[in-house]
Amino acid sequence: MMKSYLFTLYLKTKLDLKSAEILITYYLVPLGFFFVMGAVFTSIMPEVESTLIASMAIFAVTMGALIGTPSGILEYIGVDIRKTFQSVGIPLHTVISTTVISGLLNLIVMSLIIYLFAPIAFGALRPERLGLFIAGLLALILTTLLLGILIGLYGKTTSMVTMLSQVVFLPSMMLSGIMFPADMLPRPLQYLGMVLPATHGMEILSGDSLELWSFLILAGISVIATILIVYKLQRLKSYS
Amino acid sequence: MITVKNLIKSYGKETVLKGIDFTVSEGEIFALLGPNGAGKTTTLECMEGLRRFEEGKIEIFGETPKKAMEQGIIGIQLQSSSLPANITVTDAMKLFCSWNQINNRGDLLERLGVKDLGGKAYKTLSTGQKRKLHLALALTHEPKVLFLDEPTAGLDVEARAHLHQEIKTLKEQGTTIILASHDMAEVESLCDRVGMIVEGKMRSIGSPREIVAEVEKEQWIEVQWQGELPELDFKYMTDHQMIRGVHRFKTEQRLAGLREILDFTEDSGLDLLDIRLEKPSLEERFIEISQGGKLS
Repeated sequence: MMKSYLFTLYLKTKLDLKSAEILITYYLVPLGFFFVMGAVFTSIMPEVESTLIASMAIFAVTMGALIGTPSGILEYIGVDIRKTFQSVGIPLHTVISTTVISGLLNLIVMSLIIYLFAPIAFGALRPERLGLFIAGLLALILTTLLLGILIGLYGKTTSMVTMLSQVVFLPSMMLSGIMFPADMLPRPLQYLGMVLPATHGMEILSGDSLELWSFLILAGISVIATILIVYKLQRLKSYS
Repeated sequence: MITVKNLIKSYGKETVLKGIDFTVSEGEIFALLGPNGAGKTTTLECMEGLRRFEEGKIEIFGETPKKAMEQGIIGIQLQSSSLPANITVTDAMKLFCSWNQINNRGDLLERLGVKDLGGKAYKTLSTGQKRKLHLALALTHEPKVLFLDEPTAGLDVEARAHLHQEIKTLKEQGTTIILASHDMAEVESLCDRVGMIVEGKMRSIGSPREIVAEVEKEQWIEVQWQGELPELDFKYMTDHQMIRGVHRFKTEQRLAGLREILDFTEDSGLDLLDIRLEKPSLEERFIEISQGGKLS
């Protein structure tokens, strides 16, 4: 069974790399944003050098996980493919877990590109505590991927999925502090931003100290998302 | 042996299967016929272990559908089988073989004529090519029972003939095949027995010949005469039609009707060119049953 799982994971990663949607949302748009916004930010706000890697990585993760992942889930969990997979005994959780692992790998690669090129292209400063940065990045990727999967599972149509993705993605861009400091926002919007993984990702990745509270909130969002994913999978598995 | 006993299944408040009963013997090709929404696909999906049902019992070679699926007893080609758009034919085969825990079955792709498409993405395949691929995937583990839901829907004549031949070959190899179809000619030529489901109930079951023979008493006799026809006045005929010089008489008493026509021909001095009892087709029988014919 492990061999079957590993082959499915290999195949999912391969298919993701061949997917135009994944290529665009995981790589091309974040790279474009990175080069354009990197140039703009560093020229109008030179002090962003210390947070540029964090904000660009968070943009890439949020974009890939919230815009790219749900449509893939919608395709695989769509009734025809789901039943075809079930007919050969491929468990639904395999589809979810391989999506998470494949997404994790792609988003790590994209974050690595930003981490390596931001100092060269824009003179960005690398984080002082690399271990904390990596832990925070992994926590953010995992949490955001789980949210992306949740959107793919609960949004029944492409248009619904697009809408739900935007409902989380746009506030993540505006309220998390990756475009401008979150403390410049009105208080209610700051509170609203506290429920978004990107806000806590920014807290962890741009800081030099352990933001335990942010880690806990990311863990809490992940747990809630996982419970809702498992609930939905159970319902799909025993469908009517 | 496959047994379906008193199968009851509802979607919400609507009961779609109202106590379906039938058995299928080993090595048999059994078809489920019925109009759209009759419950054929639901019956198949309950048997395949893909749907739960409220009441009844299904046994596939002594196992529940779920266990039969887990043990590889059954192979399934769904009505709307699908795969990820970018998966290649070769990778799809490898994926299915991997989950069936068997070595790669490239031979099946060759046998079903899709081996040359190995590197092609699923989304680029034609309907016929997809059907062949899904049949190959359903056969990877050489199942004892094969479920085919509308196996030839959307196929051209050549692809259909090829698939029919493949189904016959599988039967010769001892595979039990249960299929749902709308194609009466296909069912008549392929299947040993047929079950007709209408509104969630099994209305008729038997060989295509038996089902046709169950036909209501009324039959048509076709006659072609030469000569001047006197006035027609038949005791045993309930209807008369004239189509391109051929007289069609409807009768409820076949033998008496035939005798009456022969006597009439002799008495009138007409030359009898042709006389035949019109044999009802499975399709006509199907229409009759689905429109509320008698329950068997």
